[in-house]
Amino acid sequence: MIKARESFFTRVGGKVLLLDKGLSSGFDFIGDIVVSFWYLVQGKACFRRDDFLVLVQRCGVDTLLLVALISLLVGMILAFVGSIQLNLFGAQIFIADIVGISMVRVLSAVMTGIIVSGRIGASFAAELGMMQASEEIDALKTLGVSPVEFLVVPRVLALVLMMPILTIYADLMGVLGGFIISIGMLHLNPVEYWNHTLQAVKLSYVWIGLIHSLVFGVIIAVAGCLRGMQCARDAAGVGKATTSGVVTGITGIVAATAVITYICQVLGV
Amino acid sequence: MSSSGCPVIEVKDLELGYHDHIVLHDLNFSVNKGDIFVVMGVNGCGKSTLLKSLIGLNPPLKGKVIYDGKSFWDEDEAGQHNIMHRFGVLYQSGALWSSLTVAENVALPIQLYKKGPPREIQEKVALKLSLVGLEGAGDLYPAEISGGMRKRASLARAIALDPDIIFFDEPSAGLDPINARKLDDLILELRDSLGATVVVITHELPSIFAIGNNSVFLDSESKTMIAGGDPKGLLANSNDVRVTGFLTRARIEG
Repeated sequence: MIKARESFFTRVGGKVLLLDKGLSSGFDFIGDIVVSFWYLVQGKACFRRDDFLVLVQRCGVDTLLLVALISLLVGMILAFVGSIQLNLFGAQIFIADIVGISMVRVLSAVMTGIIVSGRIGASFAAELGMMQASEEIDALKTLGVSPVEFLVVPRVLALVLMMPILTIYADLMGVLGGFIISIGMLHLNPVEYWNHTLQAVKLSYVWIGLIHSLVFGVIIAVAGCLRGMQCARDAAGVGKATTSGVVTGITGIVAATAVITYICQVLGV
Repeated sequence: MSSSGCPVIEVKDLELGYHDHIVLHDLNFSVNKGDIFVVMGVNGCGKSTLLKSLIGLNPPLKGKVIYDGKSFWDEDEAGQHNIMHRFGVLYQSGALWSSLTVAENVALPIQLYKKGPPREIQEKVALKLSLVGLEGAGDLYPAEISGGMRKRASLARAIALDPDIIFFDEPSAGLDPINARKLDDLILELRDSLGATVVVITHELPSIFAIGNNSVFLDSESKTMIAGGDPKGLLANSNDVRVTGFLTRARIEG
């Protein structure tokens, strides 16, 4: 029998209730993470150092090559695109400023965030989702171990520690990408390019980039872990949790970038 | 070892469900010390829902689950954890932590709650693994062992803290008849050697008659328990066609 279509208002009401439920479970989860971090600081949390170190390796070293490649290419693309317009004014040397400022201030962090969301955020969601489906999380709960303390906190901590390091690395690779194009194809003077970069990139821009990366680290880890923990107990559920973890992470990155950029604008930095 | 008549678990007026959907209601039964208590019924009758409420994963809509006089769901978090430390649970899928080796899976509960030097913990782990016949498998990961071995490894983890009560969720599911029989023997052996009370969720008739000495029968239509007691006694004396039909695998018209 075909089910009668619900009215527009019923459907809108249903969506609003779902949104409300989703938001409150999200806030509950963030609250649990904060409490678990407090337990960790007090030395009361159930935390395995070995697991944490493996996660640090996965979030850091294992992601390095991909971050390097993408950042190098983004730096090159910026230099190419910038040169087209700047060439009209004979100001090609300002490519150094464009690449340096945009990479260090925001683009390295955003690109690193998107890569990490696709690679690490997805793996967090899939792992925890699979653990949910195979009752591994239930086994922790019946042992009296908080899954947030044991599984989520090490993941959030590892990613928050690694994101700034990856972003600094991406800054360097992005600037290198711009340098390669400017010197190799646009025939700019390497010393002049380097000096322009040093003059354009202020230390405050590096800090702004690092703040972006810290915020993104939290967003990606929390989104991946939240979706994994909310996963339905079947294979399709794991797939949905993984997709949702990445989508939530990237949406969060874009929204956070807008907010941080606005705050910087208001503060005049 | 046999049942002592002293109730370890008492279930009173328990109602289980999710939001407005009631899965089971009016459950009243008790499990005595040393019992092998079987929760049986057809698929979808709420056996796993009942287990989740007994082991502290799903709060009931109403009613009480009482462990040695303490109402589990009325306790605070610390009180609930104290009761939970007396459990061992063998999940249907084994639920071994896949990133840890078999030995690490068994060691984790001991490291968390018993502490002690690493060598002592290793000895305890080796003992638990030998109890379930898994000597030499400690360094393997769950993905590298068979389904039967996974169940036994999970059992070794369930008994790691020498629990008073061991819960088994469909222990024979996915096992061939020989391994299922071996697991039944192991359950009897562990009950006798550890002096534990055992609660088994199952619909496998050979297991029910081989190990169970007390039971409750859940019915999916009335959403409550419709019989209880020794499974062999139920088979001999029950007049309820749903119970005898289940226990004899008879075809029920209707």
